Amino acid sequence: MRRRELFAWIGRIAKGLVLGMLGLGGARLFRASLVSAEAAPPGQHPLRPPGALDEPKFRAACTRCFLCAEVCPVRCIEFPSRVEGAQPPLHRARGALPRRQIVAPVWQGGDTPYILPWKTGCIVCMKCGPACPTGAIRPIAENRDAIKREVRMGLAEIDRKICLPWTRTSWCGACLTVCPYRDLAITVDHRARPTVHAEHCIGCGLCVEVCPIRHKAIAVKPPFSPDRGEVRAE
Amino acid sequence: MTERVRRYWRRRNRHWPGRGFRLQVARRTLQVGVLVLLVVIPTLSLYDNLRNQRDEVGIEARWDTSLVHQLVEDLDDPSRVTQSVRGSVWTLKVGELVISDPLAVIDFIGAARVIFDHFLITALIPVLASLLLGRVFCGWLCPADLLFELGTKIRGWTGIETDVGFARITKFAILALGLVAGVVLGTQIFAEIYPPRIIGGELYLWITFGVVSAGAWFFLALLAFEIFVSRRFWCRYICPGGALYSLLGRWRILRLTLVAQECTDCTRCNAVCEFGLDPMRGRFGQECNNCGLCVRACAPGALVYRVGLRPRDGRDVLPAAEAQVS
Repeated sequence: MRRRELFAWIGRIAKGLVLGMLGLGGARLFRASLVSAEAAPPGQHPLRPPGALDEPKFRAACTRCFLCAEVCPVRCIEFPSRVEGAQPPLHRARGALPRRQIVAPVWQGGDTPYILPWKTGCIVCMKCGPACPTGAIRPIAENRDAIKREVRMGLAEIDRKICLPWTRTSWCGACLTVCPYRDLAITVDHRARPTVHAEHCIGCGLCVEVCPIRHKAIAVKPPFSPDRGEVRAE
Repeated sequence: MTERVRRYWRRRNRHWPGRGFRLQVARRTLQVGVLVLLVVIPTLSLYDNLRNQRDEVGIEARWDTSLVHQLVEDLDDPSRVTQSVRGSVWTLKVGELVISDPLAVIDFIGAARVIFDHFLITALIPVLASLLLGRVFCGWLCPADLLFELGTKIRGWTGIETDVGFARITKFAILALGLVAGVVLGTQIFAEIYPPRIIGGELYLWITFGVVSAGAWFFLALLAFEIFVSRRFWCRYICPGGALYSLLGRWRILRLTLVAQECTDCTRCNAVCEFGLDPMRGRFGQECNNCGLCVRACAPGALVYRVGLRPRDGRDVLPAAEAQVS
């Protein structure tokens, strides 16, 4: 084989490798961008960070700087371009439509921070408020009473049809254990059946994160939800 | 500066191609530095998360093999270093100092319909810099500008000649239209289309969550359009941030100026000008970003930086006698 041919072959192989790697990388990037459409368990809602303004005001004030997510120690603040409500095979009667989009698209305020409580709940460390430059997330003192007074990310609701103690399946108590306002926001009776008290619940979503049921027997309903309008009157 | 040093520099600078070379090195260093910063800041944030996981929960992830850990592990308080800088070129937080893009502030005022003084003062430094130095963010700091200039290089290598021109006033119209649309829709429009924010945001999303959003595809499409259809299309005709900086930099103090007597009419400066301005006739207008590419290209050294007021006719041309003084 001549030297020139050898070089040509080496060149071709190198080119193939480079193009292949680029192609794989590009494909991976493309798939990654599609994966951001993730499925939510039925009945679940994305939440705003603690201390956020009301939904329309928040969308107007958020400048998409991602500073709140950068300071979040548990990385619960995410920027899903869309989250789709999954089809509940066993709970069709609960009224969740299949593949219902529950996060606003970009032109209506996408790229804004959401907390997806079924993935990671908020630990209410209150670091995102001071980090927000525009005041879209109000700074609230990291103080038990101040947080309980000011923060209303939503209200937890228990689905008694699938909750383990309520269906007499087993003892559980996971939501009680993890609740930052244990025995105030969530109480249990003598059969370990949990109850949520609206006046104390701040809607952090930790109970949703730990709920062992696959379809989540507890859901946090935000005060304003993009798909449902006013869920909870303040 | 003593007369001897000045004479030395003049002698060195007069001969092409040495003139303006260091300026370009400084500019490229700054631009690449900004791009590196946009990668470093999310990495630091991610590292903080992993540290936090280790300290609070006891999860020993791959964190001790990370480069950041190797660098900061021996410090007394690593979190003070790793948490000292946050954000991107859209809103940067260095310790307690917050610096925002003026476009972010304008966008916020339009959409939220309130004037929030804490956010307003964060744009003070960029606004003052633009008033004095012109559209200097575009040429010296913007990470998108670096990639767009790379696009211009690719155009040169591939020999693509297509150049579709638009009206320069388009970008001012888009600035106004975007504000109106922000007021109507109640959301910040410019944040979604402004390439520097897109680059910072997508790098953050990619590093932290491993996903990118629609912005990445928007920017790549833009880059392809610039390479194949229209040279520096975004910065010249569309960019609302560029429009805002142009307005701010109209009466800039640091002005590129043509020394008419030394010009040989070679049109080299007009060819290299990224914004398609007319340095050969001193028509820099409000859009010049003081990048100094024309200074670098000018063989006889007819283009100089001058500190002074805007000429009444808008043409920065000097007779040679005055140029000696500056």
